[in-house]
Amino acid sequence: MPDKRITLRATRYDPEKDKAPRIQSYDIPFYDESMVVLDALNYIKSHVDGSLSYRWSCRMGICGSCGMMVNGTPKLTCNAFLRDYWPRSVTVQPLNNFPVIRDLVIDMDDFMHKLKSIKPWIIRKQELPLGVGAHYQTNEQIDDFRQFSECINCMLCYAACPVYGLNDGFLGPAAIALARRYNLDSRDQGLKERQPIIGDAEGIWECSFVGECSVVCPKGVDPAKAIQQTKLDTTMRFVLPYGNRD
Amino acid sequence: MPANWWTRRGHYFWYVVREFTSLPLAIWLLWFLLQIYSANSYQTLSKQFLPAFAVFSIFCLPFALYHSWTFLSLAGTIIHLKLLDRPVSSRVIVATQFAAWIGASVVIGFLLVWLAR
Repeated sequence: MPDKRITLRATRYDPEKDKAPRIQSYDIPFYDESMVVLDALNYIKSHVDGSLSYRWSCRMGICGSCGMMVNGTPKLTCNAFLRDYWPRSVTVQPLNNFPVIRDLVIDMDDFMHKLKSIKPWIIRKQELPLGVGAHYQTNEQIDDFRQFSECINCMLCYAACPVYGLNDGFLGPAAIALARRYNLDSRDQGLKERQPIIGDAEGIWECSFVGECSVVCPKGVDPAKAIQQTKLDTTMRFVLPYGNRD
Repeated sequence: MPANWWTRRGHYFWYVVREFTSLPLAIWLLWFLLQIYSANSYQTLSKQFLPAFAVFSIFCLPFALYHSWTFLSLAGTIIHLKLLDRPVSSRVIVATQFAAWIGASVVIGFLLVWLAR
């Protein structure tokens, strides 16, 4: 039986040599049904073209490094099985809405800046004395924010969000979901510090609930839900008497 | 982003359709308010009811239904309720929204028919 093969079309771009990104095709063996797009990229780099540049790390869907556009959809390439595309070709491109540094590698500075802006750490007005011991939480308290803590910062949601694509000043799904994670944490007292960033015109109010961020999220974080719930909470705090109390 | 970004995926397309439904509904509302303003009484209003407005209303009905359907379906995502310290299921929230919508429609429909007699 002839060996199965599959065509992978990858974006190539060297800013020192190329005027614009171009697509390069690679015909590689499809030797295992469990092969993923990342395996294909690694095969190309190892056996065909060592100059291909891309990010990857854990290869098991937990680090968030290998996010790319696979046939027009933002996906973790370690979680995109070739069998779902074969015998059609697979087109791999850098994530939408981010500047391209080289080939499939994007500049994530804007994303990192936005994550940091929402202060993703426990903020306390008064730290508990060490002698008090650990700050315990019940399972119900953890369940309040557990879903939003699953984010692996893969940026697929930013690649899928047309609002971010049209306005890169938008805070974005992952940052807002992370802010909600900390605002819902019973240990945290930093909601008022985060509110000016989240409640800004380019924060939650820039979102028009397209919902594609939640569709592409590989970890089920549902950032669209986080944003809409934050809108509701922010509004209720503004409208209700003493709604803005600590 | 290219101007045709919303044609690339079905989800984007239906999102733009959802947003667009506000336009015919806004025009319908303005036209309806004009008709109320120009009528002296409910009897006059019903007599002055233009066929063109009736046709436009029928045209707007699917937009209104789609707008309402998508808005109410998302209520379960937006509203985060707890009852006796347990989160209320999003399905229950959505079901109550649709129940309220149907109930309000029945009441308003009954009132309109009763007043027209």
